Amino acid sequence: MSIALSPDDAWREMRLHIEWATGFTLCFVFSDSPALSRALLQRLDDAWRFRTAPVTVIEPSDPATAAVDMFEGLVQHQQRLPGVLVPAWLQLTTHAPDVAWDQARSECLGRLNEGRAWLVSDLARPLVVCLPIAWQAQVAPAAPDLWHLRVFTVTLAASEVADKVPGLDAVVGGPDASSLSLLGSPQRIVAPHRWLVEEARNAWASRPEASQQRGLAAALGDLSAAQLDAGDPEGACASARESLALRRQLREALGESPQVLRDLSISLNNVGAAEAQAGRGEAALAAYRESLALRRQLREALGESPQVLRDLSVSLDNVGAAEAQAGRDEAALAAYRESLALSRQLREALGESPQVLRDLSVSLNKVGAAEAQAGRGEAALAAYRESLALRRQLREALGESPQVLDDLAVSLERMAVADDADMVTRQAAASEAVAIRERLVAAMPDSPWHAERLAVARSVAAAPSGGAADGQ
Amino acid sequence: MSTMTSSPSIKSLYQALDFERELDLDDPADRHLYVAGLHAEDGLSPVDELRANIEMAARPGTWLFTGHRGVGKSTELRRMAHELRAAGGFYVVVADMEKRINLAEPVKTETLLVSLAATLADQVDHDLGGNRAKGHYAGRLWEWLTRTEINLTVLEVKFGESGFTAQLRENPSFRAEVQRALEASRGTWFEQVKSFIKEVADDVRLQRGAATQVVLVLDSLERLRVSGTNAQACYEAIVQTFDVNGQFLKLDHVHAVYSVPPFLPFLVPRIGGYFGVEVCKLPHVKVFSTPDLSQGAQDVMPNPVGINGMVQSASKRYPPIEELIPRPMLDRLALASSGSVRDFFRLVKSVCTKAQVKQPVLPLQDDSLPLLAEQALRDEMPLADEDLKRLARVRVSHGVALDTMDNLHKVARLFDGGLILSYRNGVGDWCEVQLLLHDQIAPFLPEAAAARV
Repeated sequence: MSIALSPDDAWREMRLHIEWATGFTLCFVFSDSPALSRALLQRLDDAWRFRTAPVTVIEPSDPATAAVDMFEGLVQHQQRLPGVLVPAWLQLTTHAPDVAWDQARSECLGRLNEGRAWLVSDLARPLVVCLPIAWQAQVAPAAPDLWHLRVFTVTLAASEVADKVPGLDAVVGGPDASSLSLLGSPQRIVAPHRWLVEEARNAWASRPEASQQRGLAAALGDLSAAQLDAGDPEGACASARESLALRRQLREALGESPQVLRDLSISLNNVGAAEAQAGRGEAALAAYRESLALRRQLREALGESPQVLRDLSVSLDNVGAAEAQAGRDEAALAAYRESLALSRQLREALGESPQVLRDLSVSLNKVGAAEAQAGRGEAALAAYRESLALRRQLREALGESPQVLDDLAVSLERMAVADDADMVTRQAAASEAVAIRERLVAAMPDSPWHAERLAVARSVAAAPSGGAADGQ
Repeated sequence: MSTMTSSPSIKSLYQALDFERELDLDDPADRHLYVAGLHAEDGLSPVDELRANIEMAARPGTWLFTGHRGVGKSTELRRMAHELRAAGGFYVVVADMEKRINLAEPVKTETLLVSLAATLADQVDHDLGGNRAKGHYAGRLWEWLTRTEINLTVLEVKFGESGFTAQLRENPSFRAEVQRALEASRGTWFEQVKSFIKEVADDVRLQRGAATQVVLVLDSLERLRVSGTNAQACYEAIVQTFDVNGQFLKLDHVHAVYSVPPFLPFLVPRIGGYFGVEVCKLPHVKVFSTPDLSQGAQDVMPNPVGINGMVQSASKRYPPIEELIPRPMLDRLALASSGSVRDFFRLVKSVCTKAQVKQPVLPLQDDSLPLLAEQALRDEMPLADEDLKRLARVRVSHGVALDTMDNLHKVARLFDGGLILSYRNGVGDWCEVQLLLHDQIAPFLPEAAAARV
């Protein structure tokens, strides 16, 4: 069985296969998690939206016409930007495994196999095919000619493990989450999750077992995240609270096993995120604190595995943000410092993966902001410097996606307003941040968020001593 | 030694290894990329034998050519075409049948032949500009068809004669209608097609010299599909076309080289005898020395000649390759590919992207990246126990491990996936399992050995 990677680790290598393509290039992504495949798609879309044009996402909605719809989508993609190597993403994972959809996947692969010559000579641009993990062993027999064309395959880590990795939380819910919605309406993003929830609900109704209940709770958690992406915090709250109730029932029924406790902490974080976005800070803080307590309990029980440390770091960041929001700066700083220590511990344990480095840079910025708030300018500057260096390192490793550039601009803006930095450093940082933000606005002129960030960056550059940078 | 700060050379190496484009030796740019003797054993290449057979044949013949995916069949067929043209006296048409018929549908003799005739018509129109007195051959083929008793009226109304070959090539519905119309009057129509081909060949000889022989090479038919829900129908159609209707594939006036599925000799054991020649099989590149075939599974021994050929196939495309990946690592990757040029290129490309991500000192100092590339390739071959047992039998027997014809599709799937590879040792063929799977198969070897005894 292949090793599952996070979207960031998968992206580091996949992007090169696509960037270096001179014609048709085929990548296979295997994933059972809509959130993970969407996170990888987000990286791809970010990179190409910035470079040339957004990727074309082909996501058949009807198994009966999937193969035809797929080919029509590819033909339209080919005609959309003649001569430009914009990738297409064929999403065949959205719908849960069933006979009709498995047949549709088989037909899609069969049609692609038949169209091998057309793909190579006419489509002549990168194609990413995203399939459920169970299809790993089925592609070669179903589409042998297609399989021989592949340059890269990757399996993404399972949802319940990786969805809560701090870096991914930040990316999926981060400032660029809106860009994915450009690929389709918000309903298109939420709808498959609703469908999955209904499927899980039916499965639990027909087989009222713990495993089915856990499946429904997980599906509700994914739906909640999608609803947040789509700007529906109340819907997200309802989904997250239903998931939480199911997991509390499971704790009653099954006892406090590590899995049960971790599931419960995930649901609490989902509730916290939804409550925070809905503007109910104290409710968010209560949920985050309960989650943090569970994760401390898990560290006691399981020891300091990377997963445990990541989980704890996420909860500490959540609590820190909620404390800061409530005006309790020292409590926020304490939480952020503890989270930073864990992030450093994770770098020691896991090495310098993009995910680890980004997590660390986020922690550093949070600590820096909290130190600055407490009037400790020198400590703030040191944290900002370290974060900036990490984000430059990430640009080298990941390329210039909007996410990477936005992160870099945030760090530069922090430097530009750091009281203890010299004026030359601050002015240079402010100018560089403006230049980056101008590029982002040029690439995404319809994004109000980026326009707003540019205005802030310009105001900081105009008076670097008096501006106020925000963000992570 | 230098630390890699940017990687134009890594990127250039990656981009130089385009494994989808076959080499066309008529093109001088491609000619210097070709590695001679890559598939030869003791200096004898199966394709050279095929060419010699065609050159020495007293009359036009029907020739069958096969090999597994990724061995380089298309390049070798184009090389043979180039050499026949260079020798003089041959007018050679190479057609990629993937662009002419749907290889996923059960093959039909009628569709195959009409597409073959259309291919010839198009190429002769292109090369000779048609026949001044009688018009373009593509149009004349349409005329031949409509002159028969076949009812093509509906098609004529729809498409007329001008776009006939294009429609036949690009429109599956049109092809299906032609197929249905032709099935009703097979005997008459086959004679008509042969007459048409004779007329075209005669015209070629008029323009190119009376002694000119026409050679039609039909590439990609080996990709005729035999998997999926209609696998059985596909098998039966292949048997029908190449065995029951084999007589119709003999064109009398032109040499016809059919690139056929590698399992065809198993489906139709008498196929070679029927056409009067052995099926020409292009093996994988022999990166392993021939084992003692009577001694069961053995550790593979590298064959320096085959490995050198594989490495050359990359270094000719990117001469400074060893400044990035030292020769011992390239040898290692060639061995890991087990003789599939496509997998070798895939492994090297995988090392390139991993190097770009990890930014190591170049040339690479240790095997860590080749190991990761091999791991990635191994991960792309998930196997069920049943497959592992079958592969163990291949390792033990050095044969195809085909116990009954009912299991042919299972064996074909393993060949199609590049899990079993075939080699030549001068006296016959032998098979080996992809090297990267050997450890995984090891637990199943005792059972396979016992069964053999």
